Amino acid sequence: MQHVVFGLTTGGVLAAATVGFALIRQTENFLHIAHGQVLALGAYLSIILITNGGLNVFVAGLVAMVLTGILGVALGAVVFKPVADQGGNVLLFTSIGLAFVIYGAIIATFGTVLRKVPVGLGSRIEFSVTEFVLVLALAAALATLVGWMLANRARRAEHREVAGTWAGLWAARGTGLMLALITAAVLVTFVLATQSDGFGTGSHNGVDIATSELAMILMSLGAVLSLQFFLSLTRMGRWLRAAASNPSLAAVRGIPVRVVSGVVWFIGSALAAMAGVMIAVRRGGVTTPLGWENILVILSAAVLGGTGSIMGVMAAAVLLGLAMDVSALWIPTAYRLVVAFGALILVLLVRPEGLFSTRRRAEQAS
Amino acid sequence: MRRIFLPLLAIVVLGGVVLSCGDDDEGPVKLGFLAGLSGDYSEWGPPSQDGAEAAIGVINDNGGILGRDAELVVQDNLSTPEGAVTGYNRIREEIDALGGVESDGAVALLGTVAEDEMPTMCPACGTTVLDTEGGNYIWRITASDTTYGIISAQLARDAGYGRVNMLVQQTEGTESPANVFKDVWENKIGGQIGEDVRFNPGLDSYQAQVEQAFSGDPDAVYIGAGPQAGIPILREYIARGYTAAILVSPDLQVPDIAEVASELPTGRILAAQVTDDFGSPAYAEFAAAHQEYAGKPPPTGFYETNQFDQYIVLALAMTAAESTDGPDVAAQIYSIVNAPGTKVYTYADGVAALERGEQIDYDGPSGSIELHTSTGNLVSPKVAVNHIVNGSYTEREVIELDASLGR
Repeated sequence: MQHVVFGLTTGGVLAAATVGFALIRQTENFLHIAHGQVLALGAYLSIILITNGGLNVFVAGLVAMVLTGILGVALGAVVFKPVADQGGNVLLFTSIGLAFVIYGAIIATFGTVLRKVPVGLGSRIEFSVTEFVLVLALAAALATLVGWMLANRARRAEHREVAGTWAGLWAARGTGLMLALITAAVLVTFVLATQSDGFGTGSHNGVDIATSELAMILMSLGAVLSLQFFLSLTRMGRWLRAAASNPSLAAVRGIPVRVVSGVVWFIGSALAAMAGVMIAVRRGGVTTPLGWENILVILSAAVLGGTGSIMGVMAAAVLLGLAMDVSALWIPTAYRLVVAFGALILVLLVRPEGLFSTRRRAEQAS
Repeated sequence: MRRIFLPLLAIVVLGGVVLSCGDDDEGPVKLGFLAGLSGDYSEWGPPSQDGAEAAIGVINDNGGILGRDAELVVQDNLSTPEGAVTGYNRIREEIDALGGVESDGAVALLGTVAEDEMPTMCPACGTTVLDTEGGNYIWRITASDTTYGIISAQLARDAGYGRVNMLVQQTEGTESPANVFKDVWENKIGGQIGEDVRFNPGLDSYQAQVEQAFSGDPDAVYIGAGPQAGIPILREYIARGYTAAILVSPDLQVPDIAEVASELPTGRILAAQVTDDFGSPAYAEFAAAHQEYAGKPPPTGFYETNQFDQYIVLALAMTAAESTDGPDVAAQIYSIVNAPGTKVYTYADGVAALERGEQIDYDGPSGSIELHTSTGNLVSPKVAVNHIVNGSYTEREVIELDASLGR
C-alpha cells in the first residue's frame, strides 16, 4: 500500500527532471544528455547554500534553480548555439562532451566525498484507507474539472489564428486527460497494492507520507502545471511552441527566436536543478555520479511520454515511478530499473512515438 | 655519416638503458596505494591514505628501505572493480609492491597480481573469495567477511532474536558478509530469515526496499550497504518510525551513518568491527606518526592501522629479502609476521633485529598480524561490538568469535 506513495514521490521528482529535458528536446531538437549533470549541479549548489550559506532548504533550492537556469542560458548560447545548424547528432555529442566537462567541474569543485544534506524528511502524515481514497477521489474530480475547463478553452481557441495553435489545442485537451490518467493509474495501483500486501496487517495500519514527500509531489505538480499553463496561455508560450514547430517561420513572423531559446534553457535547467534538490533531500546526501545515475531514467521517461505534450511527459514519469516502486510488491527490488526499461521497450514496440505523443497527430493535421 | 650516426645512436640507447637500470636500483622504493578515493569507499579514502602516509614517514625516518627512500604512489580505484583494474594498470610498471586494496579490487586483481608477482596487501578487504584464494602474492591483514557474518549472527543470537529480515546492496563487499550471516543464522543457529531484500546502489530512493525489509514484524533487520545507500535507508527507517533493531555491515560503521542515526536509542544499531591494539607500543608509534604526517590524531574504524601495518610489513620483508623483487619479498612475508621470532612492534626495532640476523615476529597497531600460511589470512582478528552514542560509534567491548559457529 505504502508503495503507491513512494511511486508518486519518485514519479513527481522524475517528472520535474524529465519535463525540463523534454522541453529542451522539443524546442532545440536534440537529446540533452548533459541534463543529468545540470541536475547534479543544482543539487550540489543547494547543499552548499544550505551548509555554508545557512539558507533554508526552500530558499536554497530556489537560488540554486535560478543560478542553474542562468548557467543553462549561458550554455545554450555559448556551447549549443554555434553548432545548432550542424544537426542533431552534433548537438547530441556536444551535450555528451559537456556532460563530462560539468562532471569534471563538479569533482574539481566539490570533491568526490559524500556531501550530506542537513535536512530531515519531516514528520509523517497518516491517512486511513477511507481518507486516502477520498483524497484520490478529490484529485480525480479536480483533474476532470481542470480538463473540462481547458478543453472548453481549447475549443474556443480553435477559431483563433495563432502560431502553434495545434500544439496549444492538444496540450490543453491533453492536460485534463493526463491528469485523469494519472489519477486512474494511482487508483488501479492502489487497488492492486492493497490486495497484494495484506493492507492493514503490516507494520503500518494505513498510509503515511512524510511532509517532505508531500512537498515534493506538490512542487513537481505545481511546476509542471505552471509550465503547461505558461505554454498554453501566455504569448511567450505561444512563441515558444511556434519556435519549436518551425524556427525559420517563427523568425520570419517576428518572433524573437534567440530570446525564446534562452527562456527554454532557463526553464529546462532550473527544473533540472529543482529535481536535483529534491533528490538530494530524498537521498540525504549526494555523490558525484548523481547525474549519470539519473540521465537514463530521465531519457526513458521522456521517450515513454513522447514528443509534443508536457503533460504526457509528466504522466509517463509518474507511471514510470509507480511502476518502479509498486512492482517491488511482486518483483525483487534489485530489478527496479529492469521494470522501468522493460516498460519502455514494451511501449516502444507497441507505440514507437511514445505514449502521449502529439507530433504524429500534428503531422497528420498539417 | 651513417657510419657515425648508427654507433652514436646505439651508445645513446644503451646509455639510456643503463641509466634507467641505475635509477631503478637507486631511486625510491615505490609502494602503490590503490584505494577508493572517490565513489562508495570515498569516506575511507582520506583516513586510509593518512595511515599509509604515516607508515611511509616512519619508514623514511628510520633509514628507508635498504637505504632507499620509500615513496607512496597513490591511485584512485573509483571504488569499483573496473577502476581497480584500470588504476593498477596505470601504476603496475613503476611500483614494487601494492597496498590499500579493498574487496572489489582484490577480487578483480587476484590473478593479475599473481601473474605480475606483485606483493599485494589487503588492509581493508573482507571478501570471502580471499578465504581460500590468497596466500602467495596477496595477503589480508584484516578480518574476513566470514568473521563479520558470523559475529553478526552471534550478536543476533545473544540478543535473543528469532526472526531477522535482510536488506542488502548487491555488491561484493556488502553481499559477502550478508551471505555468511544468512547461512550461519539459518543453518548453525536455527534462526528465521523473513524477507531477504536485495537492491542495486545508485537509486534516488530506497523506500520500497525499506518498507519490504521491515515488513512482517521482524526482531531485527540486517542491513548490508555502503554509506551512500545507507544514509537514505536509515533516514527512511527513522522517518517511518520503525522499531526493529538493526544489524549493520562493516561498511556502515562510519561517522556519517552514526550522525544520521544519532537520534535512535543506544543499542538500536548493533555493529561489529575490527579494532586496534590501543595499548601496544606499536599503536603509540603509529599515533605519533599520524599526528606528525597527517597533522591530527588517528581516527578509529577506517582501517587506518591496517593501512599503516601493510607498508611496515612490506618494508620489513624487503629488508629481510635484501631485495625489492616480488618473489623475494613474497617469500619473506610469513617469516616477518609469524612466530617464532623476536617480537617487534616498530619498524626501527624490526630492521635492527633483521640486521642482527634474527628472525622477527612483527605485531602492529592493528594487533597481531599472524597469518595462515596456506591462505594469507589473519589467524585471529580482533573484533569489537560498537554502539552509537551521541552521534558517533563507540566501542563497547571486544568479543571472541564463537568457534561453534565457524564454517
